Amino acid sequence: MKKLLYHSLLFVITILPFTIACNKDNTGIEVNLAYQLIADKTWYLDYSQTTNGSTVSTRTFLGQPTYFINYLKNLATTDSDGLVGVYEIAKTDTALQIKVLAKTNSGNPSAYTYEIESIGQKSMIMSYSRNNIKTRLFFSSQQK
Amino acid sequence: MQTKILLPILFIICATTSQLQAQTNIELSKEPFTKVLKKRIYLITGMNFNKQTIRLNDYTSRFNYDLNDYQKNLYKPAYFLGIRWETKHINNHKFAFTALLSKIATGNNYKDANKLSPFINNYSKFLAEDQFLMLNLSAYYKQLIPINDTSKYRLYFIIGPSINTRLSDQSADNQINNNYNKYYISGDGGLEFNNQSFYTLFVHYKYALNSFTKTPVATNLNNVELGAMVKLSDIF
Repeated sequence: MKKLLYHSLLFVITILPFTIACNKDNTGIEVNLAYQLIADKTWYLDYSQTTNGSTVSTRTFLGQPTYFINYLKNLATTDSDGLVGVYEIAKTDTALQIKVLAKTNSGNPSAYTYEIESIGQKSMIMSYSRNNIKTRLFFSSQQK
Repeated sequence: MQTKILLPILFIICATTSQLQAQTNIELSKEPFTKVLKKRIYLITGMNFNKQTIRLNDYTSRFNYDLNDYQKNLYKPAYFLGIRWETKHINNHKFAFTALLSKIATGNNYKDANKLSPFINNYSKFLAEDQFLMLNLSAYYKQLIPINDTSKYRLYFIIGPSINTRLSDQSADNQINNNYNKYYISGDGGLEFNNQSFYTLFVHYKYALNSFTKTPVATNLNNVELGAMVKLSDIF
């Protein structure tokens, strides 16, 4: 019986280091992964969807000239409307956000913040709300 | 739940090691310890073929993975290396305790998919790992199948549990929600062919008894092992 207890103890001690998980702050990991997925690609707007109360309307831009935006690794951004500036990805308590600080062709400042609802290698969904109207933007990517 | 599964396995492994210890003690009185050790210890190596079956259930994340790129419903090959300690024959059966280091590559079969029409039709919010480094601890019961001349060739049926511990880190995709467990338990069964005690060839199937990932994602990692083992005393 003593031998069994001894071996039980030995076995538990052996496997214990492998079973203890460390608690990590995962905020940085999530933001870094978002940077990796978004950077050095051109993102084309395929669909936009507005939700106003219970009314949902979807617009497609597939097969026609559409809005696009570049996010570069050096945190610079340019888009098809002529905006040039910088971007930053940040995480709040509830959302992952992309903040853009840019200037128009005529030098006027433009700043906006979108929520990143979903992001992947090829697809990204951003959204913003104004005057109780929620707009979702569906982008697909091409590697630069 | 995991404690309920762990306790019987713990008991089996401890009972096996106790028996091995008892046998070794008897043999020690007659032979040197190192000789006894070499006679009972085997080196094992071989290939494993692995597949993960994934059910996403209600898992949510801010990331999407196009399943056209990640769906691989097949067994992927990798390899393992380890040692085994076997007891003497007691009538027609014996016990074995195995420790393996396994490099695992998996084919990932997603059983369900997320949809967001018309934008994305076949994607997952969870990315299953496809590479692992594992430590497998197994306790097997071996039953001799009495066919042919057993003094030359021996065929065994083996059965027993394994505790499979993940030694490799998760990818960043899974670190965010710490999706993977540190270990999972499998029920193993298979056949082992011993050729005049020179070497043993074996095939094992390891069936996962619990999910390798935390709820709500359910991931079962099953694999087939093909390998060979030789006595340590025949090599060194």
